[in-house]
Amino acid sequence: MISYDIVYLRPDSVAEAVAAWQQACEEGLQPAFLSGGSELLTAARENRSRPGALIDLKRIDELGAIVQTDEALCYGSSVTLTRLCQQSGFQLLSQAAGRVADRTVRNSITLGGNVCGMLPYRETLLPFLVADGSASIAGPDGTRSEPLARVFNKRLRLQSGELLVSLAAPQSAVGAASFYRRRERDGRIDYPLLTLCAVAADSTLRIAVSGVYAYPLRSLEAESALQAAGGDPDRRAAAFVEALAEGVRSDMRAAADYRRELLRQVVAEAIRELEGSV
Amino acid sequence: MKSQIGRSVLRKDAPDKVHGRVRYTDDLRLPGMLYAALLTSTVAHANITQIDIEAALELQGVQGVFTGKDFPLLVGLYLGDKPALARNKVRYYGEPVAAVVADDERTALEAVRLISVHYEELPLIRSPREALQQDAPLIHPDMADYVHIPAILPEPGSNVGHRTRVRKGDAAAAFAQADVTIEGQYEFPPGDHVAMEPRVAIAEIRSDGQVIIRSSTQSPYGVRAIMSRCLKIPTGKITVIAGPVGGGFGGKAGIQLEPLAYLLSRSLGGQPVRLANTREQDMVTSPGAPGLQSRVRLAARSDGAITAAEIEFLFDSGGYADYAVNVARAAGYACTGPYNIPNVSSDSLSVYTNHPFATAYRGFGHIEMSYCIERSIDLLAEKLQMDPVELRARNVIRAGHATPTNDVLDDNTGDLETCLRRAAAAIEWHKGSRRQINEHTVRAKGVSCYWKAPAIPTFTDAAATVSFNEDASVNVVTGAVEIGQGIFTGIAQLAAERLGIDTEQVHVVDEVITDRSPHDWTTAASRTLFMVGRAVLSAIDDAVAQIKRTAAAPLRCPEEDLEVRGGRVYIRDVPAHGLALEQVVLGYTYPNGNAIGGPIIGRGKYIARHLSGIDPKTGEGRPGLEWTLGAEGVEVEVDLRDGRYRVLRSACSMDVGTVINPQLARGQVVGAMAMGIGYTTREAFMFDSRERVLNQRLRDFKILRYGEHPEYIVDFVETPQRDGPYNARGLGEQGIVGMPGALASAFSRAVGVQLLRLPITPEYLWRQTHSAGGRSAG
Repeated sequence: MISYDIVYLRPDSVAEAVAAWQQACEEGLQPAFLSGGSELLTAARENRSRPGALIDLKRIDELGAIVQTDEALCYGSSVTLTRLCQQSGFQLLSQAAGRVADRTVRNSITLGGNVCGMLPYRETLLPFLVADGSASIAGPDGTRSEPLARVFNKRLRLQSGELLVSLAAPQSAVGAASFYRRRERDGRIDYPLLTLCAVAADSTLRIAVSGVYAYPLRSLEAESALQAAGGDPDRRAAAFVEALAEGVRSDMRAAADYRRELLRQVVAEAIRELEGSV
Repeated sequence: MKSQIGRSVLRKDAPDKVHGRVRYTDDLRLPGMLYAALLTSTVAHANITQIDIEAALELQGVQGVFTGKDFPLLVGLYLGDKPALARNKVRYYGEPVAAVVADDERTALEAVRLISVHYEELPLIRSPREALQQDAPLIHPDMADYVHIPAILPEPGSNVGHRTRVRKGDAAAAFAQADVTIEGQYEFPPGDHVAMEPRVAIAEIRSDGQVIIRSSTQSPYGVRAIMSRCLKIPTGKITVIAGPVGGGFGGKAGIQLEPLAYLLSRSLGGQPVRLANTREQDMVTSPGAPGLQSRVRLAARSDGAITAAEIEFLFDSGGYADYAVNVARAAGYACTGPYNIPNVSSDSLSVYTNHPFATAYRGFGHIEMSYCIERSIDLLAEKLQMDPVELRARNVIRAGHATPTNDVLDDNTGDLETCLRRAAAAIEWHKGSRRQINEHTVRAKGVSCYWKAPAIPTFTDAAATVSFNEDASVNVVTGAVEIGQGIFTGIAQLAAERLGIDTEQVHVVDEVITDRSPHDWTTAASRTLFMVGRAVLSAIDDAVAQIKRTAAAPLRCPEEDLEVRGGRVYIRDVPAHGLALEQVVLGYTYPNGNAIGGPIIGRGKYIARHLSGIDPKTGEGRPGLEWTLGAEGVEVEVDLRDGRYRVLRSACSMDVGTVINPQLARGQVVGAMAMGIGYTTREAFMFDSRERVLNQRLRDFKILRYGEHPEYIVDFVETPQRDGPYNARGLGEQGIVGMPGALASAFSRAVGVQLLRLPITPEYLWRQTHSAGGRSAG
């Protein structure tokens, strides 16, 4: 049970949502954007988060759309993970979405919530990172589209009052050969020790990982190290892991050395599987 | 009428449970009810220097805010060591420090946030071994003043809440003469039951002083007795009401939230107060499963005969004793597992630490004991280079052998060797116990034997009444609680069998109210079908005698010529001459209107037979009513690269005397094996450096899910328990007991290293595989 009153706002458009945020701030309400709600509600129940106003984005049509053009596939931030795993048209995204939480919870969790929420894993972002995708962001000054390489660093760099409208992946990457693996401590319904998405594009392997650090990571340095290293997949995978920064997570689920070893093994698998495509 | 025994009668509560229509105590809302919420400790061991409740008291809708100083008394199941709210000191992370009562739940929760507590942290005790060190801080410095029952032996001036000594034969001499000896040290952390329904109690006090407690409890009479003893309320002034319980697993036996709910109600003029755990509180504030550190030494002859055991169990009881003292006692008197070992020296201790406190958990000390013994037998098999199944078969306990407490097993003892052979056959042990599937994947098997008797007081009782309706259907009232096990269906089958009627004709009252249901010890210890079953049969027999008495006159024959079966009372040798029970059970009316007899009420009772206390120096005595014996076998598949595993098959063969309801029996055993897999692989608390629990949320504390279950093979052996109802013995807990041992054996075989701790996680398997001696190369 949530023990305090919350102002609930349900805008009909992105512009209304942005305006609602500004007004709630002016009223000192400490607003939060509400999408699936699975994290906000559990955090509020434990008093780990106490937003004064919730701005519900789920009824905004624009945010619930999947749009396909010749150049790109574009996913609204309110699209649920269940929908993504059933009909995204982007295999890697369907795989990444389909392994978050369990089916019942995926019916609620949205792409935007998974990418912008409180948990560090943000697994549905990984396909967009390896696809060199872009984010459409709305704010008081209107909507802009930015390459993820520019707006993502450990997390999506949104300003206060900005919201994620959609994520887009170029068709070239959507059609590329891809690889997905996830490892958990015990059963599948758990946070990942490691989630890895890879595509073979422009004769290189692009690799993004989650669970290894306290944030999702795509390291161009490590990709180059893999590319530069000779030898068998195991050796190249080791070069990839070597080139990564310090700070691999050690927590109640696994120690850092185990995570690094899982990463090395899974990168080697990715190389083996995608080798012919590079 | 065909027999009701051995039939898979659909359990009566199944449709409502499946459709979510059952109303648990957690679902109750009474008019005028107030809601309590708890502030719990954020540290594991500290003096409370200040509690500021002013802001909470000022919140609109708050009826009262209470702290330890409001309730200066101690409550305890066996050992009175626990304040209702922490007084001056907290002893574990999650201990209740203050309680708010408010008009509604949200106000109570909001007020809790407004209380501030200042702590002065104290040195921590992180394990039983630390607690036993000479200079260890005392968690209960006032232990000498605590009230306790005679069977529990606290050691004031130390952190030992209880010690059970077993001395049988001459272990030292046997070790001196042994061909081989082995030693193993084992350990695992505390955990939780994770019952579906968190604990809840609603207390009210009527104007005449009658205390009404509605509780999610396995032990309505225990609650009444302990509240009476600790809170000085006459027993007759307490009524405990227990409806269906959403899972207990031992965690709702004894006394739980009831005393605090009562004290809060008493402080507010007797208004109904609902005290309900959140899931997180249910995991750490209320008690869970004990942790353990242990050492086992075995001595054997070169032919595999085990000649002696030297055993030390150190149970981690956490901050308070609760059931853990008796869990240690049960593990102590059952310390060898189901093996015939002539010389035993064993000390089983319940030790205070700064962990969440521990209570009964399915298996009651036997799951912990069994893990250590089964691992040790595998160590011995390795040293003797003997097949682990054959080594076990060589040493299984049988009728005529003496238990560790020198209690000689009688002819009702089950056939363990047959169970072992059948469990081993079920996993195809003869085809090999380790097989390489590919370069990095192996499949391995493990077996274990187990035993468990009810851990109960010597005077454990049960009782039942039966009455009849106009249609001659039967009402059965007992003190047993439905905790998910399906007991009322089993009882109905027993009653129906005795009367020769269909189980549909028997209605078992599914709510216990202590002032009208007959006394019953507790629904725990896998003793309910046995003991309550016996009482129900005795009540039916009593009713039958009354039916005969009434019917003898109109049928004009001696009572002893009458038979009651199939809804009729008739003359045995002239079966056509009789009466329908409808004409008799509420009294017989002659054609002229004269009536005789009156409503028949059968009463029946049972009390445990021949149980005795155990000698404090040697353990000698008879603590176990009936031992259920069995064996388990599992097969696992492990990827040696990263330690990922699957449990492929899990088999259990158990000697249950008689199977009353095959589906229900299988359900109990499958559920127990599943719980055993979780217990072995993941269901354990993790602590930070200050002994605070890290995984008190279900997103972090994982239990087995659909899709992770192996193939379950359940098999029953039926050596009659001739004092049991239709020769049946208890089987509720037993299926969990051998699981950690069997699984650890299989995993050890897979990675090539003897695994000595729990939980066995993929990371642990990976570390062991790549340690010296591991089979990293496959």
